[in-house]
Amino acid sequence: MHELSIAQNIIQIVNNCVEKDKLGLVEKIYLKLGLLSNVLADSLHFSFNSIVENTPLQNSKLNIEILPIKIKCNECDEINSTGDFIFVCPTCNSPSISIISGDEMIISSIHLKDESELVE
Amino acid sequence: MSAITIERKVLEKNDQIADELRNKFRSKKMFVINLLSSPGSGKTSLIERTVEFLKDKLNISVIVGDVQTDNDAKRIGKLDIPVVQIITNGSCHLEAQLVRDAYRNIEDEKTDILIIENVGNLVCPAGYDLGEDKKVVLISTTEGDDKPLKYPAMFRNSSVMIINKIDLLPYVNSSVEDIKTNAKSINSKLDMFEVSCKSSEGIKEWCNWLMRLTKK
Repeated sequence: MHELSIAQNIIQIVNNCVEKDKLGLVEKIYLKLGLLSNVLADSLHFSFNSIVENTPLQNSKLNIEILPIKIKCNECDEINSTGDFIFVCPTCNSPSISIISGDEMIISSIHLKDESELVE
Repeated sequence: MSAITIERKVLEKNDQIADELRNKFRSKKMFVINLLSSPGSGKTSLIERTVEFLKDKLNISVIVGDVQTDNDAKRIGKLDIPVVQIITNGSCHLEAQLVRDAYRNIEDEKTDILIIENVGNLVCPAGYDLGEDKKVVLISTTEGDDKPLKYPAMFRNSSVMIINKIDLLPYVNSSVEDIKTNAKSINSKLDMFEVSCKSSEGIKEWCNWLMRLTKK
């Protein structure tokens, strides 16, 4: 259940990136999670929503995009995407592959409401 | 609506501290392993056998993480080597910050190998860099041959897999070859060792590997 600690890290980064008086305007936090990141999206939503309760970020939501694992074969140079955890080149069956993406855990952007929307 | 594009790693803080630690470890010429496994696979027993084997040749220090109790530090302390216990109070993994705090109590000038025994868990610790040279994953013959397939990130991120409790092979439905085949399908570069922390079989080969990588 390290999602709680992940959620705390996310909140810390948002606090660093958004001016204090604008935290209440944060609507969505866009997150990219690779399949190899070992993070459960549902648990992360639950943890995040629990921690932001009664804080300026209480109306914000996580938007999580799950990224597939991309492997590059060291033998035939083919790049393949996989939603599965198979670390063998599907083109030539070589086990000598490099993972080029799939372990990401990145906040890509933070979306804020305009202040006028808040007044309404 | 306005958007701030940031592209920042969620674990950037942990990674920064891990890099600091890595630089510190390198400057002290210490070889550092992050020892990972399920609860009960034998991490502490492996440390005991390793220290017994290498004590006259190398100086080993240990940082050990547990959710509760200092039982492991007490066990390892009996071997008369420096040991620092981290109690995570519920957290399922060690983070670089916890290791940095514990490391202040390690006499690094006198340490050739630092073993960081992580919290028993094959999921969460996989993603947390602690500044180590190598992640070493331990699996025991009683756990089921398909553990590498069930926890791919852990076996993919590790450099070494040690299979423990080979003395129990006659009594359990487990095959070392199947464990190895499954692990290879996740990470073909894994170095592998078979040991029994009960009988000390295979400990010599593992310790020879460790000795080859020490830097002092």
